[in-house]
This record gives sequence, structure tokens and C-alpha cells, in this order.
Amino acid sequence: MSSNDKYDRQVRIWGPHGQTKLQNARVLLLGCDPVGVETLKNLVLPGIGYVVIVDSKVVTESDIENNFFIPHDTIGQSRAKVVLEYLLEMNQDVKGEWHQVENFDVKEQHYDLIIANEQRFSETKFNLIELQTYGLVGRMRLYSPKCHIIETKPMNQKYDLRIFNPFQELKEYFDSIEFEGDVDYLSHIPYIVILYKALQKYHKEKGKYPSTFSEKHKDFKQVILSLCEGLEYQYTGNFYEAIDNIDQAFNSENWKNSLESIEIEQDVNEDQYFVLISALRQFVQIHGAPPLGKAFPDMKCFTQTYVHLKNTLYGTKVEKDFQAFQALCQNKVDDETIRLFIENIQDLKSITYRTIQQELQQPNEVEDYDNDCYIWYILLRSVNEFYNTNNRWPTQEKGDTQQLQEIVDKQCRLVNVDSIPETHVIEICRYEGAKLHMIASVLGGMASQEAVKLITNQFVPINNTLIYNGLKSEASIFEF
Amino acid sequence: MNKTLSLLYSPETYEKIRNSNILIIGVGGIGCELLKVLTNSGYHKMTILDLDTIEATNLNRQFYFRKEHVGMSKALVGKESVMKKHPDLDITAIHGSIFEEKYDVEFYTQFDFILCALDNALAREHLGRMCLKSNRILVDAGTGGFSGQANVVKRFSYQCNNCQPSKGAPQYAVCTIRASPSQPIHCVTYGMSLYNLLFGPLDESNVLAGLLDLAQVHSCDKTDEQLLQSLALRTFNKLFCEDIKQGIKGYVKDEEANAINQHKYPISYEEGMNDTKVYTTIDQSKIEEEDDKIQPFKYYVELFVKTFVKILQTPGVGSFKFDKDDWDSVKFVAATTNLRTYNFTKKFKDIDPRLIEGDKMKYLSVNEVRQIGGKIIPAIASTNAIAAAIQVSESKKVLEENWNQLRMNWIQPTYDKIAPTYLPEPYPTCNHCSPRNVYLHLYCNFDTTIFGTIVELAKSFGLNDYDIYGQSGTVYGLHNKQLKRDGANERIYNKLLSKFYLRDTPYANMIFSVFEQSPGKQYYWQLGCKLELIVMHRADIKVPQISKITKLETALEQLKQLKISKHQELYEARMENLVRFSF
Repeated sequence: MSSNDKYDRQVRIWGPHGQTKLQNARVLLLGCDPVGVETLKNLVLPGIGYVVIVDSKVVTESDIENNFFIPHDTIGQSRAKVVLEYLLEMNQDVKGEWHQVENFDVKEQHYDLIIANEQRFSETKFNLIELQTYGLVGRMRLYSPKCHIIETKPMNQKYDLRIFNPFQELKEYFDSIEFEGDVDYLSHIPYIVILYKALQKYHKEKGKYPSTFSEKHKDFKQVILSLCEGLEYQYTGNFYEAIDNIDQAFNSENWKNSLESIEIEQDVNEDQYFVLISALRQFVQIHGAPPLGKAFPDMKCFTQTYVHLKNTLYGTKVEKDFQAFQALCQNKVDDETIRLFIENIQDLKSITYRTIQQELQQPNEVEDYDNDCYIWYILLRSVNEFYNTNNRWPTQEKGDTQQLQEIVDKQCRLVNVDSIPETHVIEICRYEGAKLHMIASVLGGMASQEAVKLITNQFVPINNTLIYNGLKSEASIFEF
Repeated sequence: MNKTLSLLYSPETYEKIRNSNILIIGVGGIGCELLKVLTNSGYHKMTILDLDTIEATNLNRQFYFRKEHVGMSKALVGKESVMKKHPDLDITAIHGSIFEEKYDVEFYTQFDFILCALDNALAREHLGRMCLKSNRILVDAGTGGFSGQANVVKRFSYQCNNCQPSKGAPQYAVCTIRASPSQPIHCVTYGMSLYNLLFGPLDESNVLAGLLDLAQVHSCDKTDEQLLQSLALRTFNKLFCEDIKQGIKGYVKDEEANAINQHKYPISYEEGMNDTKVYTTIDQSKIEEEDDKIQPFKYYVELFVKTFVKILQTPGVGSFKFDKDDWDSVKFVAATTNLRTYNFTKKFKDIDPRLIEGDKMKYLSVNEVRQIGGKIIPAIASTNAIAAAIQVSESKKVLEENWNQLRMNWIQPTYDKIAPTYLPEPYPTCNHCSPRNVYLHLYCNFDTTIFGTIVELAKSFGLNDYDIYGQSGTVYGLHNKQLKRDGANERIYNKLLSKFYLRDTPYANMIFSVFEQSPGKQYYWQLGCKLELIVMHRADIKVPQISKITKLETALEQLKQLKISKHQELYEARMENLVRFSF
């Protein structure tokens, strides 16, 4: 049996290059509480490269109760050792090491990801996922020193069709099409031509292009329909295709804004990504538009028209743009990456994460403070502070609830919230820091999804905190 | 008692969990996670059932299994692995199929509720039906890639899995499947439809309906091997040679038909047997598994005939439906798919890029066909873990009888990642879970009947809402329009039915039913049934007629019950209508 068989299913999601990144990745797990181990399990199974597990404690009765990866005959042994052995047994492609130490120096080695398991951790050099479960509530916090994603893999593919800003040859083609002819001809005009003509007509009538949602989807739609007036319904398939694709006409417009939001830090200009971004900036300056991607959707039209559009008009431009763009990259980036970059240019994404330190000092305020998950976040901050002062979790004893309430009030002032419901404070006191397997499993599942995103540099990871509320089984994401 | 659990659960809930007896169907990706979470959440007595044996591709997520378990029963190995960690549990493992007769209503009734962790659509449908019949609650989950869902099915309270046609199952236009395939999936769909057409029950909605004279297949002597063999050859030549030669005019515009016709490659059985080339550019030297390889073309020719004969000899033929776990059906579809691919591409000649671009049209290995046809979606450990854990969380609500708290839990790759929504009410026309439905089939000539005639007829039954469907099942623009005769509707009122030409078929079926806010809805709900009128084209009929073969008897029976009520008048009018329009 080859490894390929085993990973066949997942490679369909993140591709062989994603799998390679996963298999070369080093992951550090700090602490052997259930949620982090669950996360690591979901990374070991798909074949993560190397795991380092650090934990200072030995196995006790409660570990066996709530941690699936600690067998019952291991009491007294190092938790790190027991967990590592169990995990590696599940997938023999994975290698790893364990350390039973209190303070572990993370700076000595490179890690592609650190999982801080039930602890706050403020190192800013590596990708980081912080995890906490508390009774029926869970918290996940992501941090990445640099997060620039080319393959964002959005659910709806955007095409750069240059309807709004056609290049010279395309404009000539668009202008050469007349909306006069027999039914057969009219019903085979490609929708990109229809959209272009409708835009021109709209501009002529109103003196501007549609910009708001209702202008695009109501007024502009009417203009498209006016182009097929008199045509029987069954021959208007291509016009309705145009209506379905109204948004495609404005892709290149929206895109302009997103390019401006990508910041370039001068000191990291060795990075391939920044070579690509600065090449892109230059390219846009020279050509007024980004290099054209190869993706071209199917559309209702005659075969010869389609071939002409795809191969001759768009195809030639794609190749021309590629060569011009390649020259701007000055051999610092390989062709394959350049092509990948161009194909994804409509959906590039950069995230600048706030550091854990910043969050601890002053979390961002949230508008939607009625959200239950936000209340749980404030409460989690409060119990953590309680723990830092007392070195134990609050219980239902009166003294504890009072002390916790004071901390809660202080935390509320910090984030400008009046107060939070007393029922929630009572509920969290009931938990006494219990770690429930079910919550660890949900949170561990979500954490490993995010871990895969960070390691493969595909898809868009969350920014930056997720709170899971097991009482209602709902989750919310906040940028704290 | 487990200390962590005692903090979080009330003693009553803990007791209920401890004493419950549950059934878990499927010990695959989600099943393994489920077992882990359940056994760590206080559940004690359970039965696990799975038909499958462990495969290499399972090991990336099904963590109870190791390399050395490949080929062994999932249920039995699963139980053994769980017991290693929790030796005191009471687990019964069954290596079997839920389709077996012994798993009847009585079998299901012994459990408090059922957890579903299946990836097979047919089995899932069956399980859903059994749970409805035995009035047991089903806690269901499914995943694909980074997405998934987990929800509870409770009879008469919330939707069952068949209430809505499954999302994400794309529909293809009839002409694409029958005349102009441009992607591998089109050929696979053709193969599956052909399988269902030849070996399944009569189904007018099959995209290939009318393609073959089925009487020959159905009535032939299944013990006469020689006869079956010659029938297979005749079918082969008809499908892959004669039909292709004849061309595809009538389905697409003439110009396109000509363009496509120029690049089609009919192939007879004899020619096929002489073609031993392997049509692939991939280096296959490293592929070990035969079913992962593209075979010499002759292989598929032989395979078609061989499986055709074999399936016809299988007891129960005539009721089959494509099933990814039935290897005869997979191989038949694989053979058909590749023969069909040959017909439309042969060797990737440069014509329309939509037809042959890159990997668009290509020959497929048996396993690829199985994957595409069985809609096998990529499954990963992380999403399974989330889905299973939410199932357990929903299970707790079920045991606490906390019905209002049950939710439909969506797992998403982005946004809020987990989004609970209210469980929808059962769909009134659902075949599986709603009170009884009555369907009337109305035949009329679409070329001579105007829409208004049907509208009036439908109104006389109290139906005032209509949908128009193409043969591929797609709903078109007129969805949920209330029937009334006013200025705006005048034009459509006088339109011939055949003028409701839609993209894929000249004769779209129409379905008339009860509009949500109409008095009719209440009326039919009182009956405990819902009436639908399905209008279909028949060229040889002059006056619209209601077919007796559909559930007319049931309909009359249902309507008779009305006598007791004040709806007497309505009832009589309807009876009269039924009699008037019946053959």
C-alpha cells in the first residue's frame, strides 16, 4: 500500500502541492489536554510531517476519563510520551519527539505551527493556534506572522472577462457585433457581448455606470431585457445567462479596491509573494489592468464563436500578459507560481493578525455585543484572570462567584460593555474548568481545519478568534 | 461516575445517557469519531452495524483502523478497538447490511434512537424510511471536504432527509447527456441512467427514457445464455454504433449538430474487439491496482457484454438502481462510460474546446467511474470530528426530550464555521414522511391543449399552484405562481402547452398542487393527504384524461372519507371530475 492511496481523498481538496507542504511541516504541541491532542490527531491522520509534544505532567485518572489518547494502563507515565506513542501508532508516516519539561524554548527550531493547548502564548515568530475549552464553551485564537494567500479557493469562481474594461482587440470585437439578425443569430450572442452592450446602453441613458446593488440587479437587468425585446422566451437563454452573470461584469472594478488594500512591507521584499505583488503593481500601472487569467466560462453560443473568443481573443491576450508579467518578476519566481498567481489574482487575500499581546491588553470592541459568544469570550477572559490570581478555577462557592463578578465587571469596562447576564456567570461557575471530550472534539476539528489552511497556505483562515458555544452549538468569529 | 461529566450534566441526564441503548449505522469516517465521542461522553450500551471492510483509503481518517486491518470488517475491528480503551462497555458489533430483512421495524424499536454515519445515498434513504416506520429518532450527519451538517430527524415534527431533493446533485440537460457530452461526468451519468433504464424499474423521468425497446430486455428468457449474449451485442451496436451514426439532430441546433456529428466515432462490437490501444497519456507503470488503470479499449467492449449478461441473470433484475458498492453495476457503468467517451472524442481531436479541452473528456478507470458516479466526496478527519461531536451534542437534547432546542447544524469552511438554523417543518408533499400523498397523472396532447384548460381542470380539484418541470427535473421560471385569470396571465392562459418549450425538452411536465395560503391546503390536510396533478404529453390523446394506472383508486378512497364532513359538495364535484376525466 502506498501513501498515495491513503491520502487520495484529501489530496482532492488541497492538491498534491498542499499535501507536500503538510508532509514537510513541523508542528509543536504545548500541553496534552484533550483539545490540542484532538487537533493533532486530525493532522497526524492526513500525514503531517513531524510532531513535537511538550508537557510537564504525568498521567492521572482524569486524563483517562476525558482524553481518548491516554490509555488506562498508563497512570504515572509522562503525558507527552503516552500521547505521542498513541498518535504515531495511528500513522506510521509521521515522526515525532516528546519532552517532559516545564519551560520549553521554542526559538531554537523552526515550526510551521504551534498549538498552544489550554494556555495563552504570545510568541510572534510562528503560526499559532491557541485553544481553550471550558465546560461547554470553547475558544480558538489564530495568529500568523505573515498570511498572504494565493489559492483562496472561493466557493464561487470569479472570472476576469474584461466586460467593463475590454482590451483593444476585445473592444473591437464587441463593437462589431450588431443586435440585428434572425432569431438563431440573436439567441447565440455570447452573454459577455450582451453585458458589454447593455453597459454601453446604460451609460448612454443615465450618464454613468451602475454601481449600487439595486442599480446592477434592477435597472441594469431591465436594460439587458430591453435588448431582447420582441424575442420569444425560448430564444432568450443567452440573455438570461447574462442576467445570471451580471456580477461578472463588475469583477475587475471590485478588484481594484482589493489590490490597494494589500500592503507591501519593504523589509521582506525577498519573499516571492512580494515580488509578485510589486510586479502586479507595475503591471497595473503600465497596462491599466491586471494580467488576464486563463479561466473562461462556458457560455451559450455557436462553437466557432466560442473557439474564437477563448483561443484567439482571450487566449492571445493571456499569453501576452503572462510574458509581460514574467519579465516584471525578473526570474525571482518560477513560471508555475506565476501562472498560479495570475489565475487567482481576483481572489488574493492578505491578513494582518493582531498579536496575542495586543489582544490581552485591549481586545477590539464588538458591535454585536448581544451575541452569546461574545459574552462567553468576556467570561473566559474573566475566569482566566481568576485563575492567574488564585491558581485555581472559580467554583459555585459564594466567595468565588463574588470575586469572579468583580473581575467580570472590570473586563466589561475594558471592552465598553455595560454588564452581562448573571445567568451566564452562574453557568460558568458550574463548570469549574471541566474539559469535556465533546467540546474538545468539535473545537479540535475546527482547529485542525484552520491548521491545514495555515500550513498549506490555501483557503482563508479565520481572523482571529472563534468562540464555540456548546449550549446552543453555535460558533462566532471575532477579530479581537 | 465520570467526574467531568457529573459537573456538566444533571444527574437525570447522566442517568439517561448511561441507560440508553443506541444504534450506530456506519463505522466509517464519521462512525469512528462518533464511537470515540460517545464512549467518552458516558454512553454505555450500543450496537454498531457496518457492511464494509476496511480499505487503504480509509486510514487517513478512520483512526480505529491500522494498516494490518485492511480487508477486515469495520464493525468488528471497530468494536475491538473501542473495547481496548473501555473494556466495560456493552457493545454489539454486526457485520451486515441494513437492507437485510432481519433488520425490520422490530429491530429498530429496541433502540432509543439511531445515529447515522453513512456515506451511501441508498442506504441512507432506507435507514431514513425504517426510522420513520419504527418511529425512532434519527441523528444524522454528513460531510464533504471542509463542509458538512448534522441534524435530527423526528417524524412529523421536522423534515426528513427526503423532504428536499438533495442539494448539490447537479442536473444535466437532456441534450447534454443524450447528444453532446462534454465532460466525463456526462458520460458517467449516461452510463448510470442506462443501467437504471435497463435493469431498474420503469421510470419516465430517466433522461434516456425511450432510448431502447425495453420489452426485449424484460421479457427474454434469462436462462438462455446464448440469447442474452446476442441481446447484449445488439444493444451494444444500437447504442454505440447505429444511434451515433444516425446523428443527434433534433436535440440541438442544426449547425451545432453538424459540427458535433462531424466529430463522432461510431464503433461496432467487431471493430471494438480489434482496438487494443490504451487511450491515455498518463504514465501507468506505477499504478498497481487494475481498477485504477485505463485498460486497452477492447477490455471495455468485453466488459460491457459480460456485465450486461451477468446483471440480467442476477435475481431481482428489474428493480436495480446504480449503487457504488455493487461492483457489477460499477463495472457496467465504467464500460458504458468509456465506450461513450470513444463515440465523442476518440483521441482528443481539436474541435470545440468545450468538448475535449485538457482533462475535460477523458477515459476513466473503473475506480474513477465509481468515484464520480457514487458522488464520493473527499472526506477528512477534521470535518468528521466536528460533525460527529455535534451529533452527540444533539443526541443529548434528544434524550432530554428538549425538542425545541434541536437544530440543523451547518459546518462551513469559513464565516462562522458552525451555524445552527431551525429545523424545517416536514415538506407536505414528501413521499416518505408526510401524511399520505395522492398523485393523479393527467395525459393530454400538448400540441392541441391550451394552458387554460388545464388550469380550469386543476382549479376544479382545488389546486391552484403550479410548477413546470423539464424532464431532467429542473424547475423553471414559473415556479410557485398562483393560478388566476387576469390581464397579466391572459397571454399565458391561451398558450399551447407545447409552447412552454424549455431549454432541455419540448414537452415539460407540469405539476399542479395546492398553494400555501389557499383554502385548498387546509382541505387536503384535513384529508390527511395531499393531491398533486401531474400533466404529461401524449400525442395520441384528444381530450385530457386522467390515467387509471396511478393511484386513482387511492385517490377515490381518500376522497370518499370526505363524506363525513361539510365538504360534501366539494367532494361530489371532485368525484364527478375524476370520473369524467378517467380512461
